[in-house]
Amino acid sequence: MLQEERRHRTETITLSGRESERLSRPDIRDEFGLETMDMNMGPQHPSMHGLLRLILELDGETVVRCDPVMGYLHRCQEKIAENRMYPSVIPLTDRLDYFANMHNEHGYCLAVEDLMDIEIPPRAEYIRVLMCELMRLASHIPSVGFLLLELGAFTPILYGFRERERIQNIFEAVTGARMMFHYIRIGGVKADLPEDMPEKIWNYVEDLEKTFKRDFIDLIEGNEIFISRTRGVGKMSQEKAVEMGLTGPPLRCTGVDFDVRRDYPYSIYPELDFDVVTDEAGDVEASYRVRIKECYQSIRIIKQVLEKMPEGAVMADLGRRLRPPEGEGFGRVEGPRGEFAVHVVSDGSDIPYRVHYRDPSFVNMQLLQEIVPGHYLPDIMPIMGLVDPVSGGWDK
Amino acid sequence: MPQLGQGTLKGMGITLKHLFSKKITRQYPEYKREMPERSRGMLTVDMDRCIACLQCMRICPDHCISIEQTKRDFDGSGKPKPYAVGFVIDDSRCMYCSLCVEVCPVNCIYHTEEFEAQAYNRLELARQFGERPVDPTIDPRPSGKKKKKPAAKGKGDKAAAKKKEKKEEAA
Repeated sequence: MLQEERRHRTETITLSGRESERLSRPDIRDEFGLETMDMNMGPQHPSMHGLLRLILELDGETVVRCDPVMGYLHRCQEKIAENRMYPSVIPLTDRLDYFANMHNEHGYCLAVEDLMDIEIPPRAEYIRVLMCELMRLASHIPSVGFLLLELGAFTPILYGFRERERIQNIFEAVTGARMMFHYIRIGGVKADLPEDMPEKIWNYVEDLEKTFKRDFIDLIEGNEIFISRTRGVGKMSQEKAVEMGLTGPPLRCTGVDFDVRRDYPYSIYPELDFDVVTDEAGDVEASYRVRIKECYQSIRIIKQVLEKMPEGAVMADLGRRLRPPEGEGFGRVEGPRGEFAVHVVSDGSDIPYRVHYRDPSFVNMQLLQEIVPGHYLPDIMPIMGLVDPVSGGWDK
Repeated sequence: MPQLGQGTLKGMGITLKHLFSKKITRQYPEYKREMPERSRGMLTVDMDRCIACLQCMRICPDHCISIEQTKRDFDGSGKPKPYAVGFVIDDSRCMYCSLCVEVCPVNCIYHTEEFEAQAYNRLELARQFGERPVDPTIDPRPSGKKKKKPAAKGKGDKAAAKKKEKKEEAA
């Protein structure tokens, strides 16, 4: 009887498309008379990234099935945007992926500018790119810390947040807020940089370059515990990564050479000299290496931008009320977690007809369902570090 | 072949170095850092300059500003002019986006450096500025939105716009 029940269960699970070696061989468990166990991880879990619930089916300590359940932070961002005037949507985009606020604003503004055919002053473009790359640093460095925190190391996150704090101080002096900037506007940026700011940013970046190797590479890379917990964990092939529609570091760590900044250039990225970082291994350790190397590329871009920055206005002349023509606009940027895209549809009024956000956290999340089965329970957390999703991003 | 444990020891050395370096943390309530010039703290209004144009109330995405407007001859010119008798800013709703500050024609509403907004009661966060208190719990519907005339030409677009207006009214 028990055996029959188990076989039935095995079939349903295989039928719904979730393959598992253990489940296809029920004889293993028959010997001991054991069953798989369902377990909830989250939504309130100390090591979970925000509010995410994972329904796990465990066979001993091995995960057989992993279903992420989202929606605990859903705020109807897209619907609210349909009831606000175009400029008033920008503060809302800050609240999507709250570790990549500048990229969200940039993506939305690019979409509206595409809709309205606005020409941006060159200085505004440079300031936008400067802010976005600082934001990428402020996101990648703590992400490395989060990954290590999930493995049980507390020190790297302190160093990571120290650097983030310094970048936030820069942001506060430039935009007026530490996280919810509302800085990039349709047609340019809100205000020019303060006079002493280019020098301050340059000094900060030089400082960071000096301490970066010590605090984030020497401290972590050779560590035996780190290697044993991350090498080969969450391994995926290039085909699988492309199939799942991954973007950003989870895609590049498998060796696929894709970066929106280079392949679908926007803003001033074609004028800048930078490399797209890839790694071959496609596991958690590779994603760590990709993030670390991308920080160096960001520093390179910031230095170039500061050297090349032209003088002039920072805001295009648009008039007081924005009323875009009927049509559609699309903007895509390379955020720290992957491709962030915005689709805006206008019906000719001063309120958008539809706003759609494509958030990388949401798309990259499906990696969990595919990759986690077959791993041990404690390996879920490093894999979450590979995806590095943000609660505000996947729920919108 | 590196020795087992070498990486860990190296990391311990780095943390040891940090132990003796200068501390970067601050004792917050005792020591407060200087806020930058542009920092966006709690809003405040200079009521002497306010011309009761209601633009800040209309643009506020969170409806955190409510103004009670009357006509009063306050400067002795013999003509009654718009005057704000009641002005309330509800900090429990404000998201510090600074749209009202940018839209104000006389720069009477501005951000202070104050950021410690704590209260035992939600209504305490609604700060009154006028002569007469305004009820902050009543949602001030921005009247500017209802008047909008879409630049659309086709019939379908007008219908869509009407639909949207209805939706707003329902919301």
